Amino acid sequence: MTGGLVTQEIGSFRKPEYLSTVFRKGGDDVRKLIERATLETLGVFRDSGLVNVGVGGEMFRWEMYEHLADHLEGIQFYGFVRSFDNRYFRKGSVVSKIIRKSSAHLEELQFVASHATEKIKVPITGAYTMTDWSFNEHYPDRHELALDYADVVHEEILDLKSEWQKIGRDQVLEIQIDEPAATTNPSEMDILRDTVERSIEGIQGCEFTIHVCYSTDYGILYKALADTALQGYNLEFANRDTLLPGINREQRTGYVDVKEFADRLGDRILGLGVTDVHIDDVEGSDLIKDRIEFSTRFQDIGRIRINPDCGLRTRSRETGFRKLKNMVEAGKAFTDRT
Amino acid sequence: MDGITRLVYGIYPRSDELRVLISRTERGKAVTGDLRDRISRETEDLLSTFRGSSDIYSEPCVNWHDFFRPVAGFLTGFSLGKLQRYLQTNTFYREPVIESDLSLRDRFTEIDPPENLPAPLFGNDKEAWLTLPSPHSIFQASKNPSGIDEEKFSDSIFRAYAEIATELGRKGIVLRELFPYSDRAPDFLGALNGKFKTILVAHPESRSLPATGRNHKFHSIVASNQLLARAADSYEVPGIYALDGYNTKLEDAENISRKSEIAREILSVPRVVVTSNQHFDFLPRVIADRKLAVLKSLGAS
Repeated sequence: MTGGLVTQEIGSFRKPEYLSTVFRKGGDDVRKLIERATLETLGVFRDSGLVNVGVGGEMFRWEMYEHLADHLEGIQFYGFVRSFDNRYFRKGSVVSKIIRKSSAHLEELQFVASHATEKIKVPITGAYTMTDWSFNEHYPDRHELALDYADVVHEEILDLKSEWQKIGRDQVLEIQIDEPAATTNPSEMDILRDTVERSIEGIQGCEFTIHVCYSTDYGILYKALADTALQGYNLEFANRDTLLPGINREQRTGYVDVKEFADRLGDRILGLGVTDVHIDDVEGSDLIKDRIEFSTRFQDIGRIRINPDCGLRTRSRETGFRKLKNMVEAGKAFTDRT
Repeated sequence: MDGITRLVYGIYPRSDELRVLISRTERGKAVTGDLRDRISRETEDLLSTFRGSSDIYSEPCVNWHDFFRPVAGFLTGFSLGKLQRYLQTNTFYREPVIESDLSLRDRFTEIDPPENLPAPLFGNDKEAWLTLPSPHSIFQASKNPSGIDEEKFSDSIFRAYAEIATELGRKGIVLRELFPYSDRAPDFLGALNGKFKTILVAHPESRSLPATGRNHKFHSIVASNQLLARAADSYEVPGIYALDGYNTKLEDAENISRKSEIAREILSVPRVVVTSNQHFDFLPRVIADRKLAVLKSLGAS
């Protein structure tokens, strides 16, 4: 712990080149490289001082959409589609009913739990994002498709919980539902709410958080999910903030939304994104401390955790490490000060 | 097929080979000369396919990273901002920032827009129409710290488009409207019509269309039947969305044929333009190719 403030990563971390260049080939040799990369990444997280090491940077997953989709029936991949510039992802087409074939996260959890004593948090791609990032050739509407994806997430969580009980850790299993597409279609917030509710419905003994990033309107998210059983929200803020030092609104433009969060959801945990994963500039710990301090005007420090805005996979491992390290130092400096 | 004019427009998805080569070039593992050659070959191959599959076709723009960046490159007065999400999609574009008055750069055909590919912006096929974002779309997509008003902005863009089309000797321009019109579409979008044949592909969720009057009609406006019926003075040939650029599900040629018949009946016209509701860049390449084959199967009229 850094003096009481929980520091966590969000999910992905850049794969070492020895893994990224062969990942898609699969097989036993690649599995060994995945394990090696996971151990190395856990080491990076440990050296940075993180309290919660997640699942070691998602080395078991190529990409958040494709990883889950590869464990499902009903999805066909025709090829790559553009995300931006020359960055592409494999967007699946739903061609028949979505059915879960096998667990997408069990092996990863088993491996990480046997090699890390730190807190663990398992990110699972959420049903709404799976829906939004799929072509739909089969279902009459997106709501119906989304609910079937939610059933998949629900089954996945049940398997992870069962495994967690066997592992026998003295920690509540933390599940982070990743929903980067959560607010993309404001008219579909009811679908988002229904899928979140169905994904976690009736499951006791886990801590459920949601991760959302790059939303143009967090307000609709807070409103839509206010009555769900989610205990926390891990959100991006740093990307919309300035790099200027200070704790006034003019400098901390990115954190003004924290007030609305606190007004609506102040009794929940806020995972505060304090370092921008889209820039190579490594924010200094003083700047990060200012971001935390400004946010505590609205949200009780006891219900704040700090994390990067999103997964750090787009930055080099060295830059990712430095961002995490500064974040941990800032957390410690803040709590020491108070 | 009688009564149908087939149109293919916009950015066409890159082949896997081109995508990989670009990636290798970006990482310094391939040379830009190879990339230029590959883009030229792929452009020529696609143009050849388009010629056999459509009646009106535009450049495939496989070297364009997004629909706004090249415009920000061939005009002075723009800089590039952050990545922005394009509507309710998982695709992003680099936000143009309007810094000052706009004008066409010298030697615009050879310009390598910042952060775009090291290749010319336009090909050599004079039969291919230009495909460009409408000024309204660029204005909507841009940050505007300069405070320029939209009409003046549009004039500058249209002047540049006209210069480009003249210099390249093109037949016409397909203007893409990437954002829906609200209840009142801008009324100055016909400025290019008097000089060039212009097709306006409106966003499918538009609630109105520009009224351009009888003197400067669009060659075609592609929109819903309902909007087209209300704007009959604004175009010579109405256009309908027959292919879904947002979904991999393949359309049936007979259904398209029926749809075009219905449109001709409703609008009381002998001919309609048939095209997609979005360019094919939102689809995997193999699906784009299949949709193009569906268009081809509608037959030349």
